[in-house]
Amino acid sequence: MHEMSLVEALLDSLLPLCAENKWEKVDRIHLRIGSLRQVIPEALVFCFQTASSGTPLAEAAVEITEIGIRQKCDQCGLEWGGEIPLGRCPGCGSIEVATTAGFELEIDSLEVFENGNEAG
Amino acid sequence: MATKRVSLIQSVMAADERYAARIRSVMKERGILLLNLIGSPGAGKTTLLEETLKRCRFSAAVIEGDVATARDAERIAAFGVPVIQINTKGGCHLEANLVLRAFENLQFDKLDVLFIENVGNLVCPAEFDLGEDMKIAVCSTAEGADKPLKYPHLFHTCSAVVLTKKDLLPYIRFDRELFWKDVESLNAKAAKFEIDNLSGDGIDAWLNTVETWLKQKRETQRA
Repeated sequence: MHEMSLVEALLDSLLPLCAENKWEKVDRIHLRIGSLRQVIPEALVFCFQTASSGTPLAEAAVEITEIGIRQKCDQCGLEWGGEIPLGRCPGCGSIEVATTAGFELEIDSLEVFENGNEAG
Repeated sequence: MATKRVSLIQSVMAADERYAARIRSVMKERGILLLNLIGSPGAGKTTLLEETLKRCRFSAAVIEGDVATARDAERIAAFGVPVIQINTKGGCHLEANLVLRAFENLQFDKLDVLFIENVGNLVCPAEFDLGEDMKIAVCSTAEGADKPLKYPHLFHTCSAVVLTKKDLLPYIRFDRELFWKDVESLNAKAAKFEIDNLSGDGIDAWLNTVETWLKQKRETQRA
């Protein structure tokens, strides 16, 4: 249950950005979260709703795109995906494998309401 | 009202990553090996540290992370090494900013290895970079052999797995072969240790490896 820590980090990144750009209200936040990140989306959204109250992010919808695991063998170049990360290449058996996707924890983009007369 | 989409593509943990990078640079500058011990409550993390401090030839310090009490710090202090207790007051893991704050009260002179004993938990501590050189997964036979596959993040990203309480094996059902097979499938590179808590058997192999890591760190520092 570390979702509240993630939400605090998210607010620490986004609130200064809102102030800087004079965004009064954010409509939507798009996050990319790797499936190895052990994040429970419902818990993240609940923590976000609680912690963002009274800020320009208060009513923003949080959209989470889950990124599956991708791995690559540094020896033979084979690439694969799966539910569980592997410590050995299923092709050549090498232990020189890299996990290239699955650990993401990124803010992809925001949708912000344009301030009244600037719309367009 | 119209909305516009603003592309950011930045890490949620950007601030945390900066703290972790700061820790990494302090450790590199001073040639100190930083090990982050992660395991369930009762896995034997503090006992592993006690056995380590009893025998080690390097100079060590410990940062203890617990939800409450200074009990672990008191156990470590008995060995005469510098120890700082962090109480997270409910928090399920340590974060880099807490570790940096602990540095203010730590004597770094002549220090070789700094151990961080994370809050007892197999999930959250694995997520937070503390600027460590290595994450060490500590797991006891009493927890059951299914833990590696149930907690793949930690067992996939750690540099070593220490199986403790080997002395319990005659009294419990623990499929040792399955445990190591699953560790191997998630992380063939991890160093693997078994520790007998009663006889201390296995501690020497662990200590030798820590010494090797320290030597390697100092060599890369000089390079």
